[in-house]
Amino acid sequence: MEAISYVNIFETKGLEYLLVISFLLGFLVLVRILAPRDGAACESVTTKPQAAVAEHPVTCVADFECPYRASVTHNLDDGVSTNQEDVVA
Amino acid sequence: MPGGGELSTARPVWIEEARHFFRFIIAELKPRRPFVTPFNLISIPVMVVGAMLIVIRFARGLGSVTNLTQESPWGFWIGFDVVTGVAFAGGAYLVTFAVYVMRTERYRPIVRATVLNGLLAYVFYAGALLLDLGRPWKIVNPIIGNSFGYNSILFLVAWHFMLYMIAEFIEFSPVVAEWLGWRRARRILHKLTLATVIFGVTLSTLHQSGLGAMFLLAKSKIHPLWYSEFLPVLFLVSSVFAGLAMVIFEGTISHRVFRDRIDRAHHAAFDEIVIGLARGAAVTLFLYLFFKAVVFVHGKHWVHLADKWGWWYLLEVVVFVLAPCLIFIRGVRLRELGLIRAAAVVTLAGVALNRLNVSVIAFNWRSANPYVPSWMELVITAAVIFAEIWVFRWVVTRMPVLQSTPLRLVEEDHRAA
Amino acid sequence: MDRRRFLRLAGAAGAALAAGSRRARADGEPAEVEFIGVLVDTTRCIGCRSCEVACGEAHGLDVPDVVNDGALETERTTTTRQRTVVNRYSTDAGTVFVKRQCMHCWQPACTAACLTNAMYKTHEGPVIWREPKCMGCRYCMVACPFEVPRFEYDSPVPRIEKCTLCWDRLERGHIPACVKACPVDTLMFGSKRDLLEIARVRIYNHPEHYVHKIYGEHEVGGTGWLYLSAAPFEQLGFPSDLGTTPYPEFTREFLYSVPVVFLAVPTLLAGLHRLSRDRENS
Repeated sequence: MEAISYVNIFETKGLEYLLVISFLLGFLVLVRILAPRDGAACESVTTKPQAAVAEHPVTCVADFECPYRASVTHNLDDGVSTNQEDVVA
Repeated sequence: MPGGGELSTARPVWIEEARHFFRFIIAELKPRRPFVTPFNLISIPVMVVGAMLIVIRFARGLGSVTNLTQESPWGFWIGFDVVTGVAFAGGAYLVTFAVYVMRTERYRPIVRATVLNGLLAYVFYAGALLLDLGRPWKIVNPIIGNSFGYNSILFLVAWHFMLYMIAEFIEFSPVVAEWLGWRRARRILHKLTLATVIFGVTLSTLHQSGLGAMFLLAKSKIHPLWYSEFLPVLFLVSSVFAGLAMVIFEGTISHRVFRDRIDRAHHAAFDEIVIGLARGAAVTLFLYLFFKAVVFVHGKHWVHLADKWGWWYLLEVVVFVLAPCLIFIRGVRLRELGLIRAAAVVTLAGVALNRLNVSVIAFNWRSANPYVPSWMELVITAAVIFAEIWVFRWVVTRMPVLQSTPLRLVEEDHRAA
Repeated sequence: MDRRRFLRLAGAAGAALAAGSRRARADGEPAEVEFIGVLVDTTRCIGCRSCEVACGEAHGLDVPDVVNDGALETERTTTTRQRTVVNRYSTDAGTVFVKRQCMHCWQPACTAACLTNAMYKTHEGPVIWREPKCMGCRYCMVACPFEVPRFEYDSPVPRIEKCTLCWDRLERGHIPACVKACPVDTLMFGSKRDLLEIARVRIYNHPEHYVHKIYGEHEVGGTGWLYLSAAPFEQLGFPSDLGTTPYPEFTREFLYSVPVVFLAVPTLLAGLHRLSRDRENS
């Protein structure tokens, strides 16, 4: 007859709970260790595009601006109207 | 000269457009940088030999270029190219999640390069998968509907790869549209971005964990220290720090090689980006360690530590998971980018090691003839990777991947969003 | 009842049961399925390897020269040219010959793995390989706990080779070639239920003659091929650590979670996106 196996889950559960608790504590500690010190370095890149341009002017490589159209010598700004669509969530 | 002056009754406008487009593409194919570089000198012969080996593989069967056996049906191509390569491409779903879902602007400068890398990784590694299939032309079977093996996790993984490539391409397509100057297309594609990103992240969570779930069926063959019912979770978590480490690694290299394509704003922001990514890697490595510990205790694996496999397992966990976790933490605290880069490299090696262990090394670990990849398998893998880098280089030097989107378009996007 | 009459009855019973199980029950419940299988009584096997010869001849594969090739000297596995092999073992109970081939599991790992349904469990029980669908991914080989499917690495159009319980012969009303060829009644073909009964009766009647276990009764949820032996099965090359869980169970939870993830994660992400709106405006 095959041996009937009995799995004793209590053996490992105690140690597993200990692991979970130490993880939670360790996680708290870790997050505090990794947090930026005084917030100065954190938001050096501002979130608004206009402000970003004011601080760091975007200098694009010359032939990036629509290289295909540029080669056909079209004017980039002809006849394009900006969209005034409402923001929809 | 093209333009208004040549309009005649004999040539419709669309033919002119097509000819111009064709000439443009040909011009774009010409190299923009010096051709003789160390990278080219190494990669070209490898790719040539790789191409020849691929021909042999198709003419004479898998056994002619691989060391695969009946006991080891999956080898380096599956274990590294597919199972590890997809983890390395995990940066795409993480960074798009941060930028588009959580609107963390800090990472916007790298999102395009990361998506491009993700797209190319999936395309080339799925391509490499075609090399490994016995009858690659039959890959259409699970796609066209006459052979849907719903019960198979591989079916799920295969479909997700396909859908994810499409999602990545849509996410990247605004860049292509900017390059070609197709403004309306760009606007439309940009509006699709958020939904595509959400779809892509969902797909990623399933197929990254799915890669681990595939090995659940190999229960009797994988060494107990690497097999667990939590393989899907472990693979998902390791895909996070694998992706972050790869973004750090590739980003560092790109910033050196393509220095002239990056504007001042990016350079300034990049250090902060790396530190932010390192934080994420440290936290997920920490989590992963505890997962491994719980799985170890739960499975009562103490007895397995006594032999060489136990040492190999400890090496993988201590040197390649615990150590980079600590080095990342130290690198973040001291703001030392050198430490962070070193930790990233060790992390990548660790992920490769773990996945090779699960799929190849600790697979059929009792076998008397352990599988070792042939030099031809390694050369073909290298050729695939070099080809991917060539395409990456071609795209980055021509399309606005590393530059900021011009302010005009950013304002348009914000108004439309 | 003599052997031949019993075999014919068992074959007829098997075929009748197979035909019967195709009828769906009137109340819409899934039909109770009776699978067919083969009982291998290794105490009767004399190692003549007629089964190997018959299998090779029936399927156009290698026909071994059983007199001269000395194959019993080494422990062999099936190959892409031989769907079944007989091995000889020296055990506590003397010399034992064991025929090995695909076990035709009740819930096969290979069919759970196959993403094209090339590996297919027929309604009657035999697990077959359907060539038009296979793309050669070899996941079935990864999954099979008995390491049965064999792959033609040396062919540009590779096949998977394994025992099909002579499915093509069964469809024409014959019994498997190996069962027909066996001269000493080692192999018995019929419905698994009947075969289990017969096996239990044999153990009950001759308890000192057999190990008190039918290999395949519970392994990996039950297999179509059942084995009786005078020696412990570990000494006969049978894996002993497979457990009783059918292999498809291992992936069931993950597959069930897929629709849940597809519903929950996009919702969660959309919610996070909505919540992160405030960061932009702050």
